[in-house]
Amino acid sequence: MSELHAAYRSGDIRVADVVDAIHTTAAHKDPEINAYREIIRPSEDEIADAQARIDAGTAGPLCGMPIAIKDNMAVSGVGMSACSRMLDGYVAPYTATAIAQLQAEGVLICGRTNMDEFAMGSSTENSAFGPTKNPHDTTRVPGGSSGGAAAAVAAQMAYASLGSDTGGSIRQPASFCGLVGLYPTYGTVSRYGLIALASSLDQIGPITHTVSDARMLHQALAQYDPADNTSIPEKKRVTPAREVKTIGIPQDFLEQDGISDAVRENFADSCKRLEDAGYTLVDISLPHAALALAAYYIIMPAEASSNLARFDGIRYGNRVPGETLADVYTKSRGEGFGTEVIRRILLGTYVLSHGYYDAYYNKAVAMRDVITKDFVSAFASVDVIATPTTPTDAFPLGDRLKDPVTMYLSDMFTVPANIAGVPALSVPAGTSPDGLPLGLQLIAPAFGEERLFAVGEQFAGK
Amino acid sequence: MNTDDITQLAYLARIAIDTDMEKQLATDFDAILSYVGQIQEAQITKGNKHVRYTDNVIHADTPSTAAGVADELVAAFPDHENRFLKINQVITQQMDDE
Repeated sequence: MSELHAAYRSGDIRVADVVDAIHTTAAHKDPEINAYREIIRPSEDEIADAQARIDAGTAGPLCGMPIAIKDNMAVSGVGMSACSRMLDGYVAPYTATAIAQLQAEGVLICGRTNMDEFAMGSSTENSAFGPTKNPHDTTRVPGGSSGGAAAAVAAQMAYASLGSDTGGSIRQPASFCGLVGLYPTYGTVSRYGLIALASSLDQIGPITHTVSDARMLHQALAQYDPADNTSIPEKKRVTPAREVKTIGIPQDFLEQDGISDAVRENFADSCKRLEDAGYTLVDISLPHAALALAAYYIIMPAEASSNLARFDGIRYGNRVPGETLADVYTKSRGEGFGTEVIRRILLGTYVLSHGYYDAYYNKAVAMRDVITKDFVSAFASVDVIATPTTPTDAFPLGDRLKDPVTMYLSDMFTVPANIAGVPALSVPAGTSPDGLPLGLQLIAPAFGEERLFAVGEQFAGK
Repeated sequence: MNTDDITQLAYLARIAIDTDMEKQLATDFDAILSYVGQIQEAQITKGNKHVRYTDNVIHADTPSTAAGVADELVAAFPDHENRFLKINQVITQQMDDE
């Protein structure tokens, strides 16, 4: 995006030409990739406004950038389905704060992207509108749930995109598609206008080609929003600003089953690169991090079962007629939701039900505090923590659809940051022997995004 | 977990599912609950609560009009009459003809 901004400012290229080029590329590539639910052409007024700001020399670095958004973020007058039959045809009545912040900077929304239904999945195969394919190998998944957002950027069908991340849904697809993806500190980016999956975990973040692009987008997005009650006032965002010298490697967390040899070797190479760049690597312990995924698959479905209760055929989307009101609810939800969504709603209903609440939900919430404390303790001795982003490279389409637990394990490295509410960045870290991208995940203390960008730039090379 | 348990959960969640899905979900639940159940064996030291940032958020108790988008919200209702949602009759009165 920096290069495009420079080209805009020098007058070498015009906004309308870039919009045309993106549109042409998407029309050519997307029938195979299926990254987009809807390709959007910005209005002539939006294009003219961005061009006028560039011509006047008042344009910021994001002005005129064609950016795609996941299909769970509201843009007034534009469809928003969360890739569910339940919301097929629904038109958003207002604009999400995060989108409005980017539009104020002159960003042009060039489409809404495919995703796992209601952001439930790690492969974008749970979309009601067909799977997205990985542009690096179209027999493989792009990751998920923001797989369309990642594939659109990887296939040059957008300059960047916004995804949402509840347990890795930005970082995992960014890793599978050879891109940069950021999960910001919980509470720094507004969730107003984002369809909720699990409200205590969800954050919107960028998927980009470079770390500096991610930084630019994050700086525009990380603003207090009174419309989101979990948005943290900026004066309370105490930035742990110090130069990164030490990077923690949680060896105990890396000794889990299910991590491929390719990932282990790639991570060893990444550690060597970090050392060569001058960082001191320190063995640390995150003693409970391996239990984060179990806690996550209790907390997330519990919150999802509550959040998705609003989709009842009455106020949104499609209604299936019934004899009674309860019939309408039951039939509308049965017809509107896909299998994974039903699986998680029922799981959430189970862990919240009488007799199981203490054994599952309360235990998971207590574990969440323990894991958060593990991170606080670790950051007393190191500046950043590094792990692989994913336990394997991009897996073949259809490979894990029938095995939910194996699918859930795709998020083993990304979930702990969501559980603790701390920021994490995935940066490209080379490829597997099959030529598929792999990622390095960097985790910082709350509000420590700048540490991630600094190390990420150093690692990836500016 | 058996199919009766799944039927009861689906009833509680107000979701119609067929018997094939009941069988599949019963199998899936055994695997998922086995995985997440490992948390029950974890030793958790008390006194670790509230390590995340939390703060009460209080708004003035003043009326508003849904951020000015009430008409658009009404337009999105699957079925409505003027500004009212149309739904099935909720309360019925049985008439005794005798």
